This record gives sequence, structure tokens and C-alpha cells, in this order.
Amino acid sequence: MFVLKPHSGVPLHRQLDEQIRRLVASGQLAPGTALPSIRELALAHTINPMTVSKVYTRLEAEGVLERNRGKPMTVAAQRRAQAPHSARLAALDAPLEHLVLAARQLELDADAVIEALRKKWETSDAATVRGRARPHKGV
Amino acid sequence: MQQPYVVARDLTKAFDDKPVLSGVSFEVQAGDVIGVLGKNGAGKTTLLELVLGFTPASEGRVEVFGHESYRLPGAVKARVGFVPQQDELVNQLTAGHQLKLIRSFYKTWDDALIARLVAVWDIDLGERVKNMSVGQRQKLSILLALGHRPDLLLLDEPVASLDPLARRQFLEQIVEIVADGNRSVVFSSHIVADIERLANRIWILKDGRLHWQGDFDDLRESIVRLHLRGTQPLHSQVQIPNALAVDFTHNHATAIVHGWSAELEAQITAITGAEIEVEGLTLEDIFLAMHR
Amino acid sequence: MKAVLRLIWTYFTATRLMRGLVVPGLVLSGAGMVGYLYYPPWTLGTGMRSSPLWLQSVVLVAPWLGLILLFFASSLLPVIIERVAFGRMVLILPRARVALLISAVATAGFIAVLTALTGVFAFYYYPNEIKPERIFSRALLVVFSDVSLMYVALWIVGKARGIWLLIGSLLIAFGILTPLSLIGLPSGVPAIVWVGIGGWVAFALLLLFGGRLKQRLARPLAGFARLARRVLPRAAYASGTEFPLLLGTNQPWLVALGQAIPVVVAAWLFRQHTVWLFFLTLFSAIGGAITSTAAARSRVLWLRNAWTRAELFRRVETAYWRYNAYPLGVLLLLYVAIGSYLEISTARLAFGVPLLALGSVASLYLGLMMTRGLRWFEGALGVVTMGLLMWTAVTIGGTPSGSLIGETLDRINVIELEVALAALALIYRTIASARWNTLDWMVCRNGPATRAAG
Repeated sequence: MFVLKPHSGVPLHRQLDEQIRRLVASGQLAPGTALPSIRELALAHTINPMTVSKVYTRLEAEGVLERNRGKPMTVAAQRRAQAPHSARLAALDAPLEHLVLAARQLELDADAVIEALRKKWETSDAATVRGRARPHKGV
Repeated sequence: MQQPYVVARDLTKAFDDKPVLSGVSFEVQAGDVIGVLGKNGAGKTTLLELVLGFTPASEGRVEVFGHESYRLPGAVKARVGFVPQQDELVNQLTAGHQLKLIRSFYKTWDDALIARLVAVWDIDLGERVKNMSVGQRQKLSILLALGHRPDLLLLDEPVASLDPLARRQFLEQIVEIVADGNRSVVFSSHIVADIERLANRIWILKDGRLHWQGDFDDLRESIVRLHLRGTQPLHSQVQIPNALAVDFTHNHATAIVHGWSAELEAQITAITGAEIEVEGLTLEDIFLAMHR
Repeated sequence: MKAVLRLIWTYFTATRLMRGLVVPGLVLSGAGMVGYLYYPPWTLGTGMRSSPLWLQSVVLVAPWLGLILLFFASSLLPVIIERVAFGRMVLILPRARVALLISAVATAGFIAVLTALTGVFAFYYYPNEIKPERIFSRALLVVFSDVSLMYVALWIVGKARGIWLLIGSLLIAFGILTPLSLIGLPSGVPAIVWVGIGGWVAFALLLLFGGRLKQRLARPLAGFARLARRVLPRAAYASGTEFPLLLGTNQPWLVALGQAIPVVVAAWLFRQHTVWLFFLTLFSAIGGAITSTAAARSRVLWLRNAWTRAELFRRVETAYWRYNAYPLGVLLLLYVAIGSYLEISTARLAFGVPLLALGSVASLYLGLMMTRGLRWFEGALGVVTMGLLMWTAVTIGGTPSGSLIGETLDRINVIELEVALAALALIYRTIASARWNTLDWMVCRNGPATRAAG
């Protein structure tokens, strides 16, 4: 489900946070889907359980996830309708940063990049996006 | 919030009038995984030994579970586990025998855990310690410290001789240990990648002092690499504040700075007039930058 | 409590060899004691005169053999205690030091009690001569101290590694038997008991308070060490001595000193020539103890020189000859000097000198032969060599009567024995030389020795 890279320079909690948000926003994680427990996720990726706990708590506070007594964390219902535009845009922060950095290094100007982005947008459609983001087996 | 498991204040240790640690203060809370980094000779082993009460502090004080570490009572010792850098196994015994020997010192011992780990970590209980490879010996050493389920586990370079698979298994076990939030782990290692995975707090020892001590996330946000892109050539005369390393190329510059904040950003923008991209660093890069 | 029991159990069952000794030891000891009750030892007067000699000998010897086996079954005690007590783990294991101390006392005490009991049964049928309680208490004290000292001896010998565990063991066996004669002394406490008690007190203090003491004394000790370094001659590295340095033979005076002291002490304790020479012979063999690690240590020299294995052997051999020369020289000097002081006949001294020299040479080559570690073959040869050495020593020492004819016979015997020893030494050399030509360092890996040599 998640691809976590501890040695990428990007904090793990941010990676996990963004990936959960993205999967929820895109519908990959449908409302009611159960997420792995803190212990399971931490063990599967060999990361500190506190990291997972931090992310789950933050997402719960923002209403993305909800906690059920005795049961694993689940995706909160009606997430898509309620997600504020700004929050969903914020989830794009990391890829945008990379895009800008790469473009700058290649000494491309903003217009060229936006044009390329528009082209890419038009040639892709929702189905392709869903196909690409199909979750891997396991966590 | 529970009482901290370990509290140290102004710890100083000197051997033969040569200071090894000076004015070190720290705390270990329940559930922490603390990674201790430092060059060889920076004092990592001494720090761990002070916490364990092997040696008394020259000045200052360190308490474990509320007791002075140099005089730990037996009941408190049972809550602490230690894996030394050089194993202290008895060569003539078999691994199984060694386990039973250490087991006899403790009132509670998790046989099921040890049995499972012996199987998963591929340890031959019938093999004599002196015939074991260094990696096997290290694995056995670690095992000896886990059986009594200590609340505080201290490890001094526990995985230096383990192959990647064994290391990963060890790290998984650490995750298991801290999962319930009541047990803490402090480990020093040169394998920065392992610490990067698991630690939530980092202690960096440099020249006998705690050069950095705090949350890993805070460290990551403090020490970053900046990519400066100016409209005109940036020359090396420009002094970038808080810089640990700077590299100039025509219009661009890369600088690693510490104490990154909005104020610092404003300062640098003012001085250089350049656009700033911020890049996060790996723990290894951070460590290297601190020691240049 | 659990820890104490587990420790004692570990001392007696750690290796297959130990386990193999414990059961026969217990059986022989127990059966032997019963045997004494039903068949009083023939040497003490009335008894089973009608029984065949061999049966009487068996009954006499059995329990003592059992006790010796038991003692050796626990011979890992010093090693285990050293490893655990002086590491770091002991400070974190709950109540570990106390457990170690109790387990050591209990083990030594167990053997001492068994021995004392055996002694009581040995004298069971002669109550009017010596009271059983007196026998028991004296025996207990003496044997307890003696066994403790033998553990220390084992520890020291264990440090030298290899075949010397066997030789030292024989020394220890002897040490176990000798004090029995001291038990019969009319009054007073034998010196050995004071030594034993003192040793235990020192050990207990060291174990329990050593850490704190070290802290308190850290400053004065450091100052003393600095002073000592300035005054004492350093084992200085002089260019050209790399070979001895790597091989570990660059401080022969240390071994010489280490031998001289026990020899003098033995002369004071054992006035009988036989016994003293016996001891000396064992010590002459210890001089060659270091050679058992030669094969493993020479590994460092292989890549750093252009020598073939045969050349390596010759150079190693020369190095150890030089190394052995010092302790042997000191030993011979002491032997002749003290021997003259004790008015031992010149003839005896004259035969004793080559014996000691042969002991040193034979053990040197036996050690060099151990290119694959200590195995049954080398062990058996070691026992044979030691047996021969001891037989020669006893022959030279002579029987108390020492008539002229007896002396002549003895002389002839001694010459034969010494020739046999010389022949053995030559054979060992041949074997060692052949083995070194096909030296396989992966097989003779000696753990700590190799690590120490780098």
C-alpha cells in the first residue's frame, strides 16, 4: 500500500501522511477501509511506531481517519466531499517541489513547464490515474 | 506523562585528567528510541557506561528509574538490558548453555520470545561459542539482553558485524519492543541508516559534548541544504550565515545550514538576493556536515 | 539462588569432557567411600590381607581417583568466573557478583567435604588413633584451601592454553594428594590453610568491592603506574625484533620470573628431593607452553615475509629456543643452588639437570606439533611425556633407603629414561617439522590467540 523511503531526506511521517491523503483523496482508500494497525505498519516497514502513531493522530484530528474502539483505524466516511480544496492542494506539495527543482536545474522557464503540465493533463484520464495508483499487495 | 527512565545532569567524566565527556545532560522517556551518533572516540561508550553505572561520573549525576546509576539496586538492574560492543560470552559454553546461565540471574524470562528469536535468527543452540562467527556471537549477545524483557535497553554498536538480513531482523525486534510505548531503547551505531529508520530522538556527541540532542524531526528541519539561484553571479566572498558547507558555481550556490527558520531565510535572501530551494538531508549527510 | 545453582551446574557440565568426568567421578567417589567402610585400606594395618593385591589397590585408589575426576570436571570454574566477573555484564546482572562468589565457595567446599568424608572413612576403623571430627575438620580446611589454590593454578595454566591444561592438571593432581600428608600433623594449622583463607578473602573483596576500590585508588594507582613505567625497563620495540614481537616471545624474563618464584616456594614447602624435583620437572615443561600457540600466531608472519613454511618453522623453532633458554637457565641455576643448599647429593643433581633440560625441549616440540589444536593424539603424547618425566624425576629422587646397590640400579635406569626422553624429543621434532610443511591456518585457528596476534 505504501512506499516509504527512510533515506530520501524527506521525513517518514511526511511521506506516510501524504501517501495516505493521496490515496484517500483519489478514492483508492474508500471510506470504511481499515488501515493497518500502528504495530503492523511499523513492523512491515521497520520504522518507529511513534511515526505511524503521529501520522494517524494528525489525520484523525483532521477528520481523514477515524478511530473505532477495539478496531483498527478506518478511513472516515464522506471524506471526498468534505476535503477542503486547500488541504488537497497541500497534498501536492512534494511532487510540485520536485518538479520545480528539476525544471530549474534544467533552466526551463515557468511557461514551458506549465505548458508541458497541461499537455500531460489532457492526455491522461481518470482511469489511467486509477490504474497507476493501484495498491501493491500487502502494506 | 511517566517519569523519565533516565535523567542525567551535567555529566562529566575524565580519565587521568583527560576529559571524555563534559557537561552532558539528557533524558530518556518511555517509548523513546534514541540513536547515539559520534565519531570514534567521541564518548559514546563512556556515555552508555555512565548510564549503566559501570563507572562513576567525575561530576554531575545520572539516575536510572530514579536511582543513582552507580548504585543500582538489584530490582532495578532487572529492568535494564545491555549489549556491549565486545561480547562477553564464555567461549567454552554452547549457546544454549550460555542462555541458561544468564537466564538464571533473572526472576522473569520470556522463554517463548527467546525460542522464537533463536529460530528466526538462525542460532544453533548446540554450537560452542568459540566456534561461532563474529556475527553469530553478536546475535547471541543481543539475545541475552532481551530475555528478561527490560524496560530500558542500551546497545553499543550492536550490529556492526551483522549481515543486512540479520540487521533487519534485529531492527524489527526493536520495533516490537517499543511498540507498546512503555519500553525505551538507546543505541549507538555507525550504521546511520538503521538509526534513521528507527530513532525518534538523536544524540550527537562531538568532542565529549552533546552537540545535538532532540527530536529527529527537529534535527531534519534544522539542518537543510539550500539551493540558491541568483540572477547574477554569487561569489565566494558572500558570507552565508549559519553555513556548515558552501559550494559556489556561477549563478548558483549550495549551502548546508543549521538552525533553519523563517528568520534565517529572510536573512539569506537579503544578503544574497537569490531564490532559495530547501532540500532535506539524510541523517548521514547531516552527520557529515556537522563534522566538516 | 537459581543463579548459584545454575553456575555450579555449568562448572560441572559445560563441555562434553566435563560431563564425561562428573559421572565417573561421583560414582568412584561414592563407591570408594563405601568401599572404605567395608574394606578398610590394607596399608593401615589389619584388613583384607587375604584379598589379591590388585583389588586392594583398586579399593585404596578408587575414591581418590573419583575426587580427582570431580575436581577436573569443575576445572572450567576459574575461566567462567574470570569471564563473567571481570566483564561488564556482571554489573548489570542482578546480584551477580554475590552469586559468583557463593558458587565458587560452594563448589570448592563440595569437593573439600567429599574429600574430608573420604578421609574420615579411611580412618574409620582406627578410632583411637585420631578422632574422626578432627580428621574431618583438618581435612576440610586443608583440602578447601588446597583446592582453591589449584583452581588458581588452573586459571594460570589455562591462560597459557593448549596442552598445558593437561600438564598443569597433573601438577594439580599432585597438589591434591600432597596436603593429605599435612593433615596428619599433630597440631597447629598448616600454612596452606592460611594461604587459602587469605586467598578467598582477597578474592571476595576484589569481586565485590573491586570496582569501588579501583575508583578510590584510581589516582594513586595511575601515579604509581606512571612511576613504574619510567623506572622499569620497557619491552621496547627495537628494529629487528619484529619477529619475536609478533610471535610473543619478546619477554622471556617474565616467564623466567614466573617460574622462579614458585620453584623457591616449592623448595620451602617440599623438603623431600623427590617431590621438589617433581615440581621442577613440571615447571620445566611449562616453559614450552607458549609454543602451543606458535602455529596460530605464526599466521601473521606468512604474508609479511618471503619464507616458505619450512623456513618459517626453522625460524620459529630458533625463536622459541632462545625464548626457552632464559627460564630454563634460571630453573637450572635455582635447582643447583637450592639443591646444594639442601645438601642433595651431586650425583642426583647431575641427573636432574639433563632431566629438566629434556623436559623443556620435549615440551617445546610437543607444542610445535600442535598445528591442529589439541587433539587426542597430542593429548596422549603429552600424558606419555609427562609420565616419563615424572617417572624419571622419582627415580632420580630415589627411595628413602638409598643403598649403594640401589643407587647403581637407579643410575642405570635414569640413563635409560633420559635417553628415551631425548628420543621422544627428536621424534616430536620430526613430526612437528613435517606438519609445519603443510600448515593450514584455518584449522589451527586458536580464537583469542589469533586475534591477539592480529
